Amino acid sequence: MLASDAPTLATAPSGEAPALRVRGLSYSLADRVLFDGLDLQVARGESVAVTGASGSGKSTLLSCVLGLIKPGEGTVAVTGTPTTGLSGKRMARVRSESIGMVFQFGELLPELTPVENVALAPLLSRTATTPSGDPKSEDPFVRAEGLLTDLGVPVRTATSRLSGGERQRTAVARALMNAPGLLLADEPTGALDADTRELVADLLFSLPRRHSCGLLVVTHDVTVAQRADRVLHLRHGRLTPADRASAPDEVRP
Amino acid sequence: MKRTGLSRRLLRIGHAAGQHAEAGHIRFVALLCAALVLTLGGASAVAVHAVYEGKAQRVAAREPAVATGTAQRAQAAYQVSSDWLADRRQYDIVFLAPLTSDVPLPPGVRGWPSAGEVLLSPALREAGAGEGIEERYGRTVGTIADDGLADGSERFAYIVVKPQELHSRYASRISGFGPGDGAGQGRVGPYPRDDQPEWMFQALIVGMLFLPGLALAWVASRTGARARDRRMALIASLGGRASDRALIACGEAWRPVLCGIALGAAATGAAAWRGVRLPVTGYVIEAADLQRWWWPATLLVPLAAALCLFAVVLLFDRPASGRRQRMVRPGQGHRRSPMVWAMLCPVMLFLGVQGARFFPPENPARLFATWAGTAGTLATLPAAVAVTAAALGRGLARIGRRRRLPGLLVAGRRTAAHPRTVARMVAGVAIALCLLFQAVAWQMIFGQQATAAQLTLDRIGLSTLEVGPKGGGKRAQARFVTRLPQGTETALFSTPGARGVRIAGDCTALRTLALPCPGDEGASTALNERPSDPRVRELLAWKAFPDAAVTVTRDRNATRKPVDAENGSTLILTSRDGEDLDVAALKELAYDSFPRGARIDAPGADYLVGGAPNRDQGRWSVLLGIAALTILALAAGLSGMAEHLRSGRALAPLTALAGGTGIFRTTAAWGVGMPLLLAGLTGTLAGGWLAQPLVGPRGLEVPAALTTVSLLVVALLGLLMWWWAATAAARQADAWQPGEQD
Repeated sequence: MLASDAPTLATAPSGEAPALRVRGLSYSLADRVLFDGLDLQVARGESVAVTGASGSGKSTLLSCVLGLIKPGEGTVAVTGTPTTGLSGKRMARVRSESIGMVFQFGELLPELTPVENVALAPLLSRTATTPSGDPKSEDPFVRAEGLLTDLGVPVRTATSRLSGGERQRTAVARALMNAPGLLLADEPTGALDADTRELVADLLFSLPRRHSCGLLVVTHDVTVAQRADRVLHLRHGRLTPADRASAPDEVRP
Repeated sequence: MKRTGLSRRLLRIGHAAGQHAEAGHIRFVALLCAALVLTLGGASAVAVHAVYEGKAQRVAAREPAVATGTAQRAQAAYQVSSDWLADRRQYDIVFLAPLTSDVPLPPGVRGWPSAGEVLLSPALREAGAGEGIEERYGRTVGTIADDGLADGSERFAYIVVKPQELHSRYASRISGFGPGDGAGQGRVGPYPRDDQPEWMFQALIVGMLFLPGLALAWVASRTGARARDRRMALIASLGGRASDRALIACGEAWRPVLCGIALGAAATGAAAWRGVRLPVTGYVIEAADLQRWWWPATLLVPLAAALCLFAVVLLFDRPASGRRQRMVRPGQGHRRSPMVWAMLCPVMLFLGVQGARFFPPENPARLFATWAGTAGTLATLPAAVAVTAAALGRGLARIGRRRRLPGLLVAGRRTAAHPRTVARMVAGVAIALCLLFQAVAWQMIFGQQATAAQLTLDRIGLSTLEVGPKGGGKRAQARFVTRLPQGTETALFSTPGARGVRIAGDCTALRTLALPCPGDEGASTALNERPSDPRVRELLAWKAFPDAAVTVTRDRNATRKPVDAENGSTLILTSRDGEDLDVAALKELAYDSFPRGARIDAPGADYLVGGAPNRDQGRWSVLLGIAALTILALAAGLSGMAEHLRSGRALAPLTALAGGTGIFRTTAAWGVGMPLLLAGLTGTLAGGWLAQPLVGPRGLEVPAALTTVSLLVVALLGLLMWWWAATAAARQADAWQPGEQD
């Protein structure tokens, strides 16, 4: 069913669960049907961009993946773990261990240093572990500093003085801190100028292969979306492969 | 669209926005509380006026009309005396002797009792129940009704005696009571003797209820202001006029304001229906007084409070303008460092507490130094708190980082980055506490003699009493002395010379007071040493000059002769075993022996009696001061809470992903709870220190109960606000979803 219904599904490496698998997702808001048997699979190392008109349900899809919204029907599995029906506590654990997210406005705390902002995620989830799984063998602040340096963010500058691009790269570093299997990005370049947008998009789409995670990007921006391995268009509650050469009018920025 | 339709729509927009606004619940509660406080403040002002007016009317109605001879026939003999219970609150008792059979009744009295019978006010009957008040003045046959009393708390008595018992030159011949009978020559009863003028009370209401209420209203108006500021900017950019923005603001605020004034009006209505006994002071506000003013109290005042609150909302709930609004990134504003002011604070505190020591006694500069230090401390306190908070924040962040505690890290960084937020919270409450302590300290200074008398009482208790008979002669005094309880010795204390003192009595009495007894009856001896009995020392301290020559005379009949009080003579009663004498029983005996009883109390207790009104008025300061403190602490807490929710919103996406909403417990503790607790501690410490130069040299102390209650109020509010802020922030984070914006 999945193979026949899902649009251009990438095949996961043998024996490894996909980063994200969504099957038969249905969700309605009042009398509006947002998802009508929606299917989606994102493999590790793969990037998928979802475009769609405003109000088509892109952000709601992310909420369903995050377990913040209970769908009417269908299942969601993150790195092989079915999340629909999980208790709040267990879902929170899945989120903290397996999902990283980049927001449109970065959502950094201006009072904290960039390093502290990045280290906050593992501190909050109490998973101050290294990507290798060795608990607390490395200080999260040291790791955060390393990540930020890799991403070219000045670590000695106050967060409130970072540029838009630097803020977004800091947010990316924070999303990677818990070594997630699935990375979500909600309009990650929506608040950036053209040059910075290119830089952040380059960084973002390089992550799946470098960190062996799946990337699901929700965006209005066709030029950003086209960098993904697959581009899907959300319309009438279903995902359909978007025409890469000429994207639909409604998804133009 | 018609203007009325548009107005209605704008009001609806505001109403809908209010229900879904950032920190909406907090603003609702803040506005509700502000409306409630302003309504109760206004109702209090009306109640004060109603009570003063009602008291004046009732007291005027019971004033005796002095008979002028030909025009008015003397119907009764009338004389006022006074007495007090163990709490030394003086009250008037009226001796009445009907001279004719058709004597008019004073208000509150339904029928004339017979001679020897007594009518008491309910408050006196209740307060004196443990002191045998119903038997003290004669046989109590009833109570005085409310229309004959200044208020429900008044202690008052009518004692009916035979005409021949009021032969004193102080008794008046009267023809009736009240203006109708031609009264107006003088007032009877404690009003207005013990009451401050009405304007002083009204000023207290303004300072302790209105101003804190306005502070709360200001905080409420700015709570969750960011989203509203955006909305208002949008309305303005779409061509909305000031009146349109005002309608939206009113639409947003009307519901909590209506709830607040409705609660206030209901509380006022309940008080007007049944009357109310106020805590701390025990004062009873008469329902009848409030009922005369019910419509201003329950209709006009709430309306005025609502208008006042809408005015505050419209005045202050506007987007920031100028430099701050032009900033591109947060945290870029540069402000002058408060370090200089902060460093001045301990200097000012030192000046306030120790400054007087650098000047000789009686030098006016001593008081000036204390005042300047106190004012300087209050002025520099916010800066000191801000600097301390910033340092504390940096320390917390270091600990949080070292121990990997995200809550401490975030709270510390926030405090370090925004110390003024904490400073505003702490300083407002701390300054209010300092001012309250100052008010109480000044009140205590005015009652300094009373406090010294209390110290005497603490040292020797009631083992020695002074007796000042009112009327009666040798026979009355003999009747009193011979019926004294076993173990009671009597002596006569007199001041025959300009600076001399004589203590006369039989040998037993003199020896009871550890005084030498001369060998022969009638002989005297000079006392050259300091008396060894503390009771004699206290007597001399209160009744003689410090260098007075003391003579001891052996005279077994000294206490049988009438006491000449006008020449400084006093009958002294002493318990042989050093235990307290039963004052209530002795007073009953005195009223049975002397025509108008006797003043009986410990040495110096007159000052306690004189200081009682001051003490009672001090209770009003404490009651209203604690109310003001509560309102200000609430305002500070709500302001901190709104700030916490605003910053908690920034944390919401991260906590939704990474879990750990427990972080809000920590950030709320350090952002809301701790500042309030710190405010309580800082305020009581600084307030106590600053009050010390006023009360310390006089052997007084700021009451521990005041410190405890103040701390308790602030701590409880801090705890409540902490819990609320943590819960609300966690709920806000739980509700977060991707794509959500402010």
